[in-house]
Formats: sequence, C-alpha cells, structure tokens
Amino acid sequence: MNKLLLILFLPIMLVRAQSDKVIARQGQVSFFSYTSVEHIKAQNNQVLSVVDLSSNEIAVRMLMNAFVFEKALMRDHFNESYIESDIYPEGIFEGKILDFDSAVSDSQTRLIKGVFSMHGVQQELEIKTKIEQQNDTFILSGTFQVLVQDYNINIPPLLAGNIAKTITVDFRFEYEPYEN
Amino acid sequence: MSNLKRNGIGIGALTILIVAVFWLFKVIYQQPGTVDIVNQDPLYDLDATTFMELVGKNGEISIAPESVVEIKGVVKEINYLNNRVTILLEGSETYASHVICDMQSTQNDAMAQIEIRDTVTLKGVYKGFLKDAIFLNCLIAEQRP
Repeated sequence: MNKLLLILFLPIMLVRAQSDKVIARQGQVSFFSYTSVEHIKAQNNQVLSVVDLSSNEIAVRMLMNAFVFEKALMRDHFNESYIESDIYPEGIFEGKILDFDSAVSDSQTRLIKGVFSMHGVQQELEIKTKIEQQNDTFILSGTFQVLVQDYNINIPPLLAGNIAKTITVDFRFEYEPYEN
Repeated sequence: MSNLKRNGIGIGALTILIVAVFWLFKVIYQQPGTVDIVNQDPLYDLDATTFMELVGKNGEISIAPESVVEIKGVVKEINYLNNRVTILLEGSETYASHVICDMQSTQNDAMAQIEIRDTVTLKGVYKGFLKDAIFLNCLIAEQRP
C-alpha cells in the first residue's frame, strides 16, 4: 500500500522538488579596484546561479574570462598574470542562505555563508545580502570585499600601486523558476 | 664647443626616446576592451542547436575559449542588463540551454532591426559553457526575419 502511494505521489513530489529551485542565467558580478594611480572596474553579466528554496542552498559559477574591462591591457593582465584564467577558468561559490524564508514576500536582509573558490584557493565568506521577491522572481544583491592576497594573486611590485589590496565586489542575481 | 653640441644631440635623442615610449605606452594602454573580430575568420560556423549538442553537456567536441565562432539561431530574448545589449539564441531544448551573446556597442544601430523569433547569424568570442554557451564581443553577421 505504501509503495502504491509512493508511486502515485512520486511525480507530484518530483515536480515540487523541481519547482523549489530557481535559476539566474545572467547574474551580474562587478568588481572595483580604487587606488590613487588608477581605478579598475570590470563586470560579468553571464554569471550562473541556482538556489534551492527547500534547503536554502546557493551555488554560483562564473567564467573568469567573461569579465568585461574598459581597457584591453587591464583584461589581459587580469586573465594572464593575476587570475590565470586558462588554468583556473571558473570562480565558484557554494553556500547557504541563513534564516531565509522564501514564503516571506517582504524584502529581507540575510547572511550567506559559504566557500568561494578562485585561482585554486578556497576561502570561507559571509556575505550580507538583500533578498527581494517580485511575483515569481527572487532578487539577491549585495556588496562584499575580498583581499587580493587571500587568493594567492601575485602583483608585481612595479604595478602594486595600481591595484588595490582590497577589491570591492558587487552582485545582483534575478532568479526565475528552474526550467530543467 | 663640441661637448655642448654632443650634449645637445644627446638631450634631443633622449627627449625623442621618452616621447616615443610615452606615446607607445599610451597607444597600448588606451586600447579599448573590445576585441576586433570583424576581419577574423571563424573557427566554427554552426547553427545554435548543433553547437549546443556538440559543445554542451556531454559534448563531443571542446572549443578552446577565446575562439571566434559564427553561430546561427533564432532570437529568444534581447535584454539590456547593466547597460549592455545581450541576445539569447534558442539552443538545446533537452537541457534548456541557450547561446548568450554579449553584443559590441558598435552593434546598437543594427540591433534596432532585430526582433524576437528572427533568425540571425552572430559572430563572437567563445568564452565557455556554464548552463549556456557564453560569447562576448558579438556582432551581427547576417539577419533575416
């Protein structure tokens, strides 16, 4: 009898499980480096993220070579010398949104705790995030800072004045129901 | 007298050298972030569905990032996130994957002619594959309604 019930309700459970996931195909991540010598800004509009609303787990993947810079030389230095995007092509974050209730439609500010992997280095991060809900869409946005030295990125002494020791990262993800 | 003349020539040569180095640095440094692909021959010329089947999940071939690829497909969506124009082409229905092309700013006028469901051929720099295939620096190679 139990097996029969399981077989009958399995498709409904699967549909429910699938609808608990939301996806952002074009998440936006920007970073800024401010020094007295120069300001460097880059943005990536093709960051992938999935949130499982049943467990509040979040995953983010970005191609490091998909950051758009104002100047070609900045892009080349970033990809070839600092991030080495041919060896470490992706930045990945896996974590959990703490105390998040997706049923609450009001704007919420929550902490996301997880591990960010970039340039072959894993670092634990806690990120304060604003969560808004508009109909079927969830919007996660926030700002955090990373230390360049935490990710084993070597800046030549000659260029040390051009690149800030602390980089500001902005993000914005608009999640829609997961299709597949 | 000859020492003064020699010094003058030396200072002149040094000045020219400094100006040349400064000019060269400025030319290289000021190069825009956009890659000029207008005259580059594409490594592959495929339709979006075939591309997704070949390169996507369980793909048979791997295309090196930074390769120039020409890709033909049906426009699913056009959006303007972060003041950048992006075209999404229909890709693989099996994996709900698309081709995402971040357009060059020089394409803004040509973009005005494009509508959803149009078939377009885009040329761009392949960056890699997440759930979708991602291209930057795209330009319109051909368009038909």
